[in-house]
Amino acid sequence: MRVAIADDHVLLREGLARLLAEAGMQVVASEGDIDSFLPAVGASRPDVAIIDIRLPPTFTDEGLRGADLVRERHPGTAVLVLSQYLDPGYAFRLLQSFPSGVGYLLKDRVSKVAVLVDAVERVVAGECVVDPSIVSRLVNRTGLTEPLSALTPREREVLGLMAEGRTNTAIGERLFLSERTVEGNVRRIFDKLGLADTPQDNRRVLAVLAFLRA
Amino acid sequence: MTRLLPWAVVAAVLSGVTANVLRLRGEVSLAGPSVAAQVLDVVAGAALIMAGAAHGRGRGRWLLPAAGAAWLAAEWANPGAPGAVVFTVGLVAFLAPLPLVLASRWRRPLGEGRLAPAPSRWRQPLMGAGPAVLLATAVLLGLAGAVLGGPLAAAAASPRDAACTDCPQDLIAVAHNVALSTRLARLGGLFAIGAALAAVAWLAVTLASTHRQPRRWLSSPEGAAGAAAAAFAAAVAAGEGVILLSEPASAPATGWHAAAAVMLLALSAAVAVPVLRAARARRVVARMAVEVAEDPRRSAADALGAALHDATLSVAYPMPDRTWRDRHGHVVVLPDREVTLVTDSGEKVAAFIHDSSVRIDRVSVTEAASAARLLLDTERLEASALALVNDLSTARRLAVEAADAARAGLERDLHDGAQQRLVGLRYALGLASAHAERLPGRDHAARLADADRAAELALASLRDLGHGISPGTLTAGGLAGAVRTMVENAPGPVTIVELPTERLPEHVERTVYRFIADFLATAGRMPPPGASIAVRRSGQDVVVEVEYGRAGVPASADPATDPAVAHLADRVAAAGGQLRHDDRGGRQRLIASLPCG
Repeated sequence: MRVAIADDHVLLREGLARLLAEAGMQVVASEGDIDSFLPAVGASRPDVAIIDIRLPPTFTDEGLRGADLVRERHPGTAVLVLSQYLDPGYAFRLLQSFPSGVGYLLKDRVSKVAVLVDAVERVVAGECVVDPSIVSRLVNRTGLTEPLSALTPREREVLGLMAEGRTNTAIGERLFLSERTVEGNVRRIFDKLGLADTPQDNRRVLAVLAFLRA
Repeated sequence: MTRLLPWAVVAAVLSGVTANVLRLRGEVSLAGPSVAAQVLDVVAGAALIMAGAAHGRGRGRWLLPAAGAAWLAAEWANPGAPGAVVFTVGLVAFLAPLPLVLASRWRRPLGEGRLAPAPSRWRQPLMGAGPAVLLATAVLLGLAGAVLGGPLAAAAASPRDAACTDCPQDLIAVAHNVALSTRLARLGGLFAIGAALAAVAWLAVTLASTHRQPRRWLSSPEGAAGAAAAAFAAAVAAGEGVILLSEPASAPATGWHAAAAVMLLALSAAVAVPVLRAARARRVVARMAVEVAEDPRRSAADALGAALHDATLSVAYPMPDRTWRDRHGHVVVLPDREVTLVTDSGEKVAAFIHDSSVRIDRVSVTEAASAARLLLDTERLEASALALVNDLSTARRLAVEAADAARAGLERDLHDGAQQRLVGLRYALGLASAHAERLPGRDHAARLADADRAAELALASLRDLGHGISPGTLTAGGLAGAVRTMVENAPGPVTIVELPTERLPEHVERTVYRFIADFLATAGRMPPPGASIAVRRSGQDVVVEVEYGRAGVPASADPATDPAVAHLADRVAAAGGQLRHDDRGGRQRLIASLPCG
């Protein structure tokens, strides 16, 4: 697995590189800002680009824009955005533009090698990865707006796991449900969100987007 | 205008006498036999008396009326004069108009204690040393000529001695020396020519010193009057020259006399026009002052602009802190040119900023400004009060902005420093535990996991701290996301009714965010139904509406005196907005409107 890293902190770049090396991955590029990172990605064609959300010059959302550019110019490279904050808005923006092969994780969660490897492998496989802590906060929040407030707690749970990027099978395993039950829940979620008539793949993404946006 | 009535009587009497002399013996008059020249002669004298009287103020106010009177009286040295007294006066006044007219061009200091425009660079050349010496020379030569050719010549011999048999008696003749009298008269003529040369030189030097704008000066009342006076002197001198050269017989110089009369008319016009204009300016201002006082949208500048024919005219007022402000208290930087300062006894009262293409003359400005004095003073006081208010609210806004900027800086320092190092520490711990899992004995891994948990907690509390200080998500992601995140972390139930989807100006977003944060800090713990928040655009404003408390349950604190509400009001006011409060049967509502231009 070939990885490129964009983070303006040398310390973190190196720490992350060593973690990835520990997991048997190869760091092929490592840059401190988007302007030098994009050509490096173009030259090394990594399987995945790991990008810190806060990068120079304004330290706001350069990383998010960089992620968009990488996905746009190099569709073969998956993107994992790391953030110091849990902001559903960022996750929403990321998934809205590229609903596959992207992930949004809390920065310090990746210090667990297993979590890091899992996330990298899933985005490279084309899945969406959203930090579970964002999802759990969204699931447990108060004051949900229509139409999400119409969901039952079980359906909300299923939608949360969908938002993390899990397949129906994985959701079933997690919740100790049969796959058919999960499918039934998913269908009801689509109905309640008014997504019944759209194609299967889009529906899943749209449901997650509705969830993140609410 | 009633003050001019005695002058009008004097002018009428003198003109009447002169007209009668001309009617009786016009053929031997200075004006000559032509009726048109005679009429011109009389009108020029009367006009000069009236214009001088209308314009006159200060020490030299009698000079032009005296010159006009002398001009009329010069014709009385004529056999047609009604009596010896009038005839003698005519002999004495013979060459007097010239020095009087020239002396009137001496620049008088403006009356003290009156509103006066301070001299500005381009408008009027100051009377420098060169022009002053030349003009003084011209006046003195003219005076000498007038004395020699007038009273002294009349004393040396009577016209009767020179075979003017039908002339009235010369009352001041002490001798009968005709040759001496003729010589004195000729000497007076020579002096008059010298005076004219000095006057022309004075005009030339003055024009040369008008900062390369001689045309502008010539078309100003002051310049036009100066040029007319010098031309008058030249015409008089030319007439004298004709008489001197025509020896022995004294030839008539009626053409030059008529030219001199025309110059006197021009001088009268140059002196009277600004007076009339100023009187009009004063009338217009006085009339408009009433309208302005009744209509708060109109100002002294409107009245003055109408009076001085400059719709672009604006007024700035001097402040104790040495700035200039408009009537709303905003700072005005005076342009280098196109400004007329209005002063009162040296104290600055106002500055008129006007269109450079509109010529503003001193007298009109003075009249208009003194008519608008009450308005100007009122606006100046208003401006200084408003200036204080503006400065205070600017200071308050700057204080809030500085505090917000300091918060943002602190958050960035936390994020870039301690937080990153903790994340680095967790990466190192993660690496270490990955290694530890391959070591014999599970103890290492468990201890490393404990250390990582401690680091995780430290990071989480640091993150919360940073977010509380200044939300990084606000600048990057906008108000809606940041408020939602904040509400999710609120200790009690909070309903979001509405949030704007578009981005607002950064300082507005920050104010709204901090407003809601401060609100939730006090109201966020409310029991159900808790607090509710709505943020919406309303025209040019952003309206933040928050509700708290439970209907039917009295509020724990009166919002009117609640320090927490006062703090919210302060924050809103610092951003130029307003906070209102209402009580819907126990459910309290705060409505903040913030300008969002």
